[in-house]
Amino acid sequence: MDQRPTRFLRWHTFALFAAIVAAGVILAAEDWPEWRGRARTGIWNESGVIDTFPSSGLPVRWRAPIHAGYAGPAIAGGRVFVTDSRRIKANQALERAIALDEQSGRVLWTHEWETNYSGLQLIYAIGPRATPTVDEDRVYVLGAMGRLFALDVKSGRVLWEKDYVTDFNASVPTWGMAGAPLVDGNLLICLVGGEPDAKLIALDKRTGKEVWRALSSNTEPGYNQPIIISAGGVRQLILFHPEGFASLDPATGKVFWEIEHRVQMGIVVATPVHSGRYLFFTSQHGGARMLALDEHTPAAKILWSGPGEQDPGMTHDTPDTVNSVIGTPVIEGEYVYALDNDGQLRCLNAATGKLVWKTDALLGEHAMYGTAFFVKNGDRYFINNDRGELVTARLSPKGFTEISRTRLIEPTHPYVRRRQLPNVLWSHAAYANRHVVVRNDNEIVSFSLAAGA
Amino acid sequence: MALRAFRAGLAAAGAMLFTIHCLTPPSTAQTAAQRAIVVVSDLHMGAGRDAAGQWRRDEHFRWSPEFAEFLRMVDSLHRGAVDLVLNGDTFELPSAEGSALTALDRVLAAHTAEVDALSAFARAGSNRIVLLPGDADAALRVTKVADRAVRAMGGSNDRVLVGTGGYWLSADGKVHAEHGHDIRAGEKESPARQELRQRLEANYPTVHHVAVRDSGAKYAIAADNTLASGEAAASLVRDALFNVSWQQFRMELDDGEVQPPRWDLGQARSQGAQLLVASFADDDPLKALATRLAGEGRLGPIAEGLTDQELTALCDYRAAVRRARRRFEPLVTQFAPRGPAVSECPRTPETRGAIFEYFWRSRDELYGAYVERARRRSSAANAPVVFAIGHSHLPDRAQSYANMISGGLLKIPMEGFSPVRGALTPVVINGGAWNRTITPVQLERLKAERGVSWHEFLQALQPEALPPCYSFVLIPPYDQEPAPAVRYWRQGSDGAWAVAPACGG
Repeated sequence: MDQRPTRFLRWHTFALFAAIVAAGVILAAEDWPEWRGRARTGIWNESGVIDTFPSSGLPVRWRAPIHAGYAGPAIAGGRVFVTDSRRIKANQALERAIALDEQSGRVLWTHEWETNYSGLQLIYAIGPRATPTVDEDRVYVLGAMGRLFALDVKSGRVLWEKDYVTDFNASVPTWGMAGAPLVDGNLLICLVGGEPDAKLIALDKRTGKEVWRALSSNTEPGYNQPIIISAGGVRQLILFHPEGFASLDPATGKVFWEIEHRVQMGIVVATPVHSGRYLFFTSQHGGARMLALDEHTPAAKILWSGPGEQDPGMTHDTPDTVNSVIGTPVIEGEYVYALDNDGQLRCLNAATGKLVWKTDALLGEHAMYGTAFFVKNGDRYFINNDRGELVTARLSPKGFTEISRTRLIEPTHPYVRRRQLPNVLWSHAAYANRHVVVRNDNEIVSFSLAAGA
Repeated sequence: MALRAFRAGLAAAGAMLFTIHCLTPPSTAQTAAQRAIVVVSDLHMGAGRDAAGQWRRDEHFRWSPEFAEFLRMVDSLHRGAVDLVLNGDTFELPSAEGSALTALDRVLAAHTAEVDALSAFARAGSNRIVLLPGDADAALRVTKVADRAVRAMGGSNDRVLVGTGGYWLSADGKVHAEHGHDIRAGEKESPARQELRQRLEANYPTVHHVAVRDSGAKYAIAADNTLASGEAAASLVRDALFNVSWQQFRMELDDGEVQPPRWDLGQARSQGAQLLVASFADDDPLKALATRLAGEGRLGPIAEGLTDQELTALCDYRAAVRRARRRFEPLVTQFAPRGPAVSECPRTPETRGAIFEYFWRSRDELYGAYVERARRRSSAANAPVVFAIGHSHLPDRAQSYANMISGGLLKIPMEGFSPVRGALTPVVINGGAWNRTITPVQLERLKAERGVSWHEFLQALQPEALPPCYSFVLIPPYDQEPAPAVRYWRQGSDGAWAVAPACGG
């Protein structure tokens, strides 16, 4: 009997099995190439991730010294990208993009440029804000004063660069340039605040050549992150800026719809979140706005509004709503969960805006400008908070159920208005390949989150 | 010992420095520390009512009942141990001696109730009244005019003094009061400008009550653009751009350690008259006038004549307005933080960046230099701890002061401001006006609510319609250092008068 077919079958069966396993591993492993991970959704799909943190803390894969900055890391293709800054004289500083080996933390290359923080409030003038954006063989990095670089991921070589101030006549807003560039097809969409009418600019991602510009710069650009959603039968580029909400065609910059919503001091930081028909915006001063997206056309209307600090009779502590300063909210089913600017985690009914519950359990204190970043993994959330902690929890209309908590990194940004801590951590962690990578103003650290590690 | 000698020397120097018309101290006088100091300014008492018994349109002080009650309260609260400083512009007087005497007689006759209240105050306890000349009553520097005022308020009982030198220093040298119109060099009103101001105020009496002083002129222009022309109009445009109380700006800015931008003054100067025109936001009622005057060639010489310090102040102002309007800052008193922004002045390359600036450096330079000049003028060994002024009609509000030593993290509650960066003294404090005032923002809101033209609105609006609230500086008796505060004599909804920390509303 000829065994060849059987052997052939066995070999192919084994190969197929191996391919499936490998594919499974590849599917389960995931990079974190930009702000809030792939597509800016704050969803991390990896499996094989730890359930409960060891009491001794998470295993450290590596730690590497860096300088100061708010920008969270991005991870792609075996590299970790981050930006930092150090003062060299008075307000002059050297900003820097760094690529590290994801496995070892070894510095692969750096690219640095001089900048001057004159004009920024010095306590916040510590470094870049925007998370690097990785796309194929390029990483895009933005400095606090508007220097944008397209760098080769392997070498750090400058492929092209732009200066928001000199190239687009932008005024750097009060707390620096914060919008991480967004890749969409061949475009790199940037929150610039240029004049005239160049709040958003789309560049050819390969050359840096301007393709389109949109939205008036009568107001500051703000500190938000543009996102792209699919709704009303089209893809919509969504921007939350100090004068309101805008939806544009990402390919052309044509405005689909705008809703006016003026936010005092231009402090619009929390990234909008989209789920089904809901599109949610929140800010400390302006309050919360839930938009209902039209199912058939690119259009939206306000479903409900929550008061903000700027509204008559309101103070910093606005009850019965949720006004986030920095951290991005999440929508889970018919509920919104977010950290209020007073540090309380709150749950609202997405359809009505009605407060369902609130708790101080996440930060452990009723803390001004409390900040936490939520990332969904399966049925739970990984939350890195401004105390330098990593918390896993389940969020439901019944309440906040903490699963595990551990200390990741020392908070080092000085901020006096917190009651318990002299320093805070306002950097978003990156989750990739069963690890979490987080930075402060002194170091960047990779911890293993692998189950059984 | 050395400290005591130093203080004694300071007090002696202070005594010599002041040209007080009536110098004999009252026998019951306590030390400065044991007495309260109350500084009021800008009453602007004028010629009173006309023959028909109606207030004349240019009469700005129509508040004798509450003023008398205020004096009774001050006397009672501090048990007759008060130095009451009438800090300039108490009267509306022409500057020439002869006509000033005549005018003063008319004013005193028209305001007998107020004068009687002041006389009664001066007779009580060990109270003293110090009358200082301002710009509207500069004639008080003339001995005959001063004598007449002193007699009216209490005769020669040594309780009413006139600081004909233009300022008053407390016995311990720690509190300096003067009207404040000399702080900005070049602010002297030309006769043509004075005539224009009077004409605007005669047409629309409430514009005088818009704080800061003279900012109401633009609303009169908005009501009737034929009212201003020629040199006086150009002067008005200039004043509008420089009539900025930097203290009030400060409170709307974030605090902390910040760095100023460096303006490219050469490039700014090369813009000539257009620099001035571009400094007005498009919604400013004076923009059209400025544009017209630039076309007539009247603004060019003004632009050419700006000093570097003035140019910097103008550029700081533009940047402050721009920032406020581009990011919806909280309401400010001097301009609405809503509306079109102005462009920035060109910057030098090294300060290409952000908009978080130290805008009040121009204010600090201005006031710091003036406080030092005042100290030298008075030959005092040290600068006073408190420098109380008026003139602008816009009182300073309480604020938190970011201490530079702590990198701006430590917030210190403070009244007034210090022109020395990072320091808490000297304190410059503006008591506003003991008068009814309205801010431009409030005025514009009121006009919008009534839905009428500026002309109709200003024709109809009388000072009596303004909030019953009068500001002053209070310095309670002190052991160590004087602690000034702006307080308000305010009528509550129940009609009762009381001292309050703000006008409310």
